[in-house]
Amino acid sequence: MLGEFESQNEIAACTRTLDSLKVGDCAEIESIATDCDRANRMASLGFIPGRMVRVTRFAPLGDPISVQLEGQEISLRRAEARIIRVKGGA
Amino acid sequence: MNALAESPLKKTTARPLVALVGNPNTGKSTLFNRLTGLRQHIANYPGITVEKKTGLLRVGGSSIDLLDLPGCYSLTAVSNDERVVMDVLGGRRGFQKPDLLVFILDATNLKRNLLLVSQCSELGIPALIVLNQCDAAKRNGIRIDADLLSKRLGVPVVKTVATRGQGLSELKDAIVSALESPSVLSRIPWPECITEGCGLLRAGLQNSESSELSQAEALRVLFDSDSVFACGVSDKLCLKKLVDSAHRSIRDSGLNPGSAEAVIHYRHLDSLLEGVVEANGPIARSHDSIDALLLNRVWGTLIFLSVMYVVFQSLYSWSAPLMDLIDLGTSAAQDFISPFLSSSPALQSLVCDGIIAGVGGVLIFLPQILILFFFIALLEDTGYMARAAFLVDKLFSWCGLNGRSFVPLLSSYACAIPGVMATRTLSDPKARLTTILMAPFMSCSARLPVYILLIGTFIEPLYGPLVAGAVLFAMHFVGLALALPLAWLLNTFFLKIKTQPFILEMPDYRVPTLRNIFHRMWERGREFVLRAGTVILAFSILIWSLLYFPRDPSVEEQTTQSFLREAAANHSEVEIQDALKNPTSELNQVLTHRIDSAYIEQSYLGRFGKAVQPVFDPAGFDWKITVGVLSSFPAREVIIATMGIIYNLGADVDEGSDDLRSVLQNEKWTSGPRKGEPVFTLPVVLGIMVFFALCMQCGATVAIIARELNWRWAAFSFFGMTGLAWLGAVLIYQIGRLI
Ligand SMILES: Nc1nc2c(ncn2[C@@H]2O[C@H](COP(=O)(O)OP(=O)(O)OP(=O)(O)O)[C@@H](O)[C@H]2O)c(=O)[nH]1
Ligand SMILES: [Mg+2]
Repeated sequence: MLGEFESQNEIAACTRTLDSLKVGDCAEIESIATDCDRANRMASLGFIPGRMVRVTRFAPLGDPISVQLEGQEISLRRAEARIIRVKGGA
Repeated sequence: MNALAESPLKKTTARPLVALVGNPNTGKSTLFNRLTGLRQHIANYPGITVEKKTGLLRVGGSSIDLLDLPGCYSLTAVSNDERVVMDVLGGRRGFQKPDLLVFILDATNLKRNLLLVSQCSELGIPALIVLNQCDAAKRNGIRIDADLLSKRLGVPVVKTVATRGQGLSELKDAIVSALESPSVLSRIPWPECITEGCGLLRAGLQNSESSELSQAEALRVLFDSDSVFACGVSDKLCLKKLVDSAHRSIRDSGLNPGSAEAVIHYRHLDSLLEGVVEANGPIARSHDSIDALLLNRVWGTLIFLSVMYVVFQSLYSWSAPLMDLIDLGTSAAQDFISPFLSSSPALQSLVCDGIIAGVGGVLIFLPQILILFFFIALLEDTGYMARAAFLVDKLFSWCGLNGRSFVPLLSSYACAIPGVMATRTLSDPKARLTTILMAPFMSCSARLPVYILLIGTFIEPLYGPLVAGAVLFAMHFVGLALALPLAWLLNTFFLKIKTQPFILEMPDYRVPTLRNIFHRMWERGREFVLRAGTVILAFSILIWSLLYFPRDPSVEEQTTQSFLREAAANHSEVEIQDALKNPTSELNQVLTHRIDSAYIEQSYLGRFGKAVQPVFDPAGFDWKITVGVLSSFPAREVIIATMGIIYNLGADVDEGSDDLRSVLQNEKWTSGPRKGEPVFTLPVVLGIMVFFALCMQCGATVAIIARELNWRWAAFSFFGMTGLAWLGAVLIYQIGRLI
C-alpha cells in the first residue's frame, strides 16, 4: 500500500515539475524529489503525492509563483516548485 | 479518554503550566490575550510572535500559567520559532514541560492544522483541541463534527471565535477539567519500516542527558537531521550512520524519507477526518477577486508602489511636528533644571547635556517608530503584508534576502532598531542574519539632518533646489545600492548556513481592528524606549563625559585673555567691562561660545580627534570634522550640536541654522598644505554625506544587533561599516579632486 505514495521507478516521460506549469494549469502531485532537504518542509505544508495543485499566478517579476492547494493559497519560489513532480492536468 | 494517574492541579508546589500551540496565524495570541487579560502581538502575518510569553489565567479559585508560543507548521525545527516550540514541548533548556497542550487550530484549514497535533501525539503530553475561527469556517461553508473529532483524537474539542470571545468560558472549563482528568492524544500507527528505524536509533544513540532516546525523540531524529534532539546527540558519526541506514530501509519500502513523515500523517488524517469535516461545495474564497487586483502584474505593482509611497511620505511629514515638540520639551526641561544645578557646573552639564539630552535623543525617534508601526500593523492585519512579500521577493531573492526582508528594511528607513527587531519574522536564519546586517545601511531618519545641513549649505545655493532634491533622494539609496551586492557577497561566499525555502501562506483579508493597531504601536514604542533607549542613554552619557572632561580651568582663562586682547582693539575698556557684566550682550555670548569651543578642543574626544585626523585626511576632513564624526558615533544626529559648539555657535543650532551654514561656508584650513583653502569643498561635502550614509554611527543599533545575534556579529557590522564609510569618503574626495 505504501508503494503508491512515491515510486522512483515510475517517473514517466510525461512527468513535469510544478515550476513548468502555466498560470491556470491544474495538476496532480506525483512525488517530491527524494532526499531533498526541503522535502520535509514542503510535505508538511501539504505538498504530498495525490493532491491537486493549481497555479494561480506568477509574481510581477516572474518569481515566486502562487498555487492553490487544498483550498489554501501558497506562494513558493520556482526553485522550490522545481522539486515537486506533477502529472496530468493542464 | 485515557486518564492519567497524577493530576497537575492537585500539585501544591507550582501552578500548572498550559501551553498554546498551533500553526502560525490561527489566533493563539488573540486567545491568549482574551484568557489572561494581558495584551500581546496580534497580527495577520504568519510568524509574528517569536518569543514565548506567559500570562496568568484565573478560573474559579485556581490560577494557571498560560504560555503563548510562536506558530509553527510542524515539529521540524527549521526556524527559531520552531526551535522554541520544540524546546518547550521537550522540556529542554530549562523550560518546564507543560502540563497541558492547548492546540489552537484554524477551523477553515483543519487537516493542515492537525498535522502538528498528530506529530505531538508522540510526546504523550495531555492535550485539548480548540477549533478557532469558526465564524470564518461557517462563512466558507465548512461544518465540523466536534464530538466525532474528539472521539477519534481521544481528547476534548472546543469551538471558539477568539476575536469575538465566543466559546471562552467553555474553553476555560475545558482547560480546568483537562487538568483534573487529563487525556492524551491517541497515537498514530506507524508503518513497520519507521518503527524499525526508530528502534535502530534508540538502541544506538544517547540523548543530551545520556539516556536512551524516547520514541518521540527518535522520530524527530529520524525525520529531521537538524532537530534539536539530533543536535543533542554527541556521537555525530554514529548518528549519521544510523540515520542513513534507517533511511535506506524506509526507501526500500517505497517511501521518500524526506517526505515520509508528512505523507504518513496526512494519510492517517485523511481517514481520521472522514465524516468529520463537511464542506459545502467548492469553498467560496472571498479574497480571490481582491488578489486578482492586488497581485496583478500592472495594477498590483502600482498599488504596491502607492501604498509604500504613502507610508514613506507620512513617515516624513507626520513625524516632523511631533519631533519638534519633543525637541521643545527637551530644551524646556534643560532650561528648567539648569538653574537648580548652577552651583556645580559639572553636575549641571551632566544632567542637562548628558542625561536630559540623552533622553530627548531617545524620545525623538518615537514618533517615526509609532507611525511606521501603525502602517506595519495595518498592512499585516489586513493581510496585505504577505502579498507585498510575494510581489517583491524577486528583488531580494538574488542576494539571499527574501520578500519578508522588505518590511525590516523599510522600517530601517525610519530607524534601524525596529528594523532589526522586525527581522524576527524571518524564519530563515540566513536571510534573517543578512537582513539584520543590511538594515543599518538603510538611510535612517537620523542621517537626514546631516544631509539637510550639508545639501542646504553647499549644494542648494550652487545648483538650485532641483539638484538639491535629487541629491537628497540619491543619498537615501546609497546605502541600499551598496547593501544588496554586499548581501550577495556575504551569502555566496561567507555564510555557511543552510538556505531555507521561502514559502508564504496567503492569509485571508481581514478588517483590522484599531485597538490591535494601537496596541502594536504602543508595544513597539515601549520596546524601543526600554531596550534601545537605555543603551542610547548610556552611550550619550559616555560621549558627553569624553567631550566634557578633563575641563582644565586654565583653558577658560587663556581663552578669555586672548579674547579680551582682541576685543580691546575695537572696544573701549568700559564697553568691554559693561558687556561682560551683562550675560546677554553680544560680546559676552561670543566669549562663551569661544570658551565652549576651546573646551571641546581640549577635551579627551577633541584631543583624540586631533590625533586621528591624519586617518581622515585622505578624505579631506580637518580636525573639526573629525571630532564631529567621532562624537556622533553613539548617535549620528549629535554631529549638528557638536559642530555648533566647535564652530563657536553654541549647541543650540539645528540643520536649518543660518549661522552654522555661513560658518561652514567660510571655514578655511588654518594649517598644513591646504592652508587658506576652504574646508568644505564639494568632494568633502559629498564625502561626509557618504560617510554618514555608510557608517554605523549608532550605538543603539550595535547593541540591538548584539542582542539579536551576538557581539561578534555586532563588532563585524560596526567595523565593517566604518571601514566602508571611510573608504567611500576617501574615494569620493580623491576622485572629486581629480575632476
Ligand atoms: N475571523 C476570525 N479571525 C480570527 C479569529 N481569531 C483570530 N483571528 C485573526 O487571526 C489573525 C491572527 O491572530 P493571532 O492571534 O495573531 O495569531 P497567532 O496564532 O498568535 O499567530 P502567530 O503568533 O503568528 O503564530 C488576527 O488578524 C486575528 O484577528 C477568529 O476566531 N475568527
Ligand atoms: Mg501569536
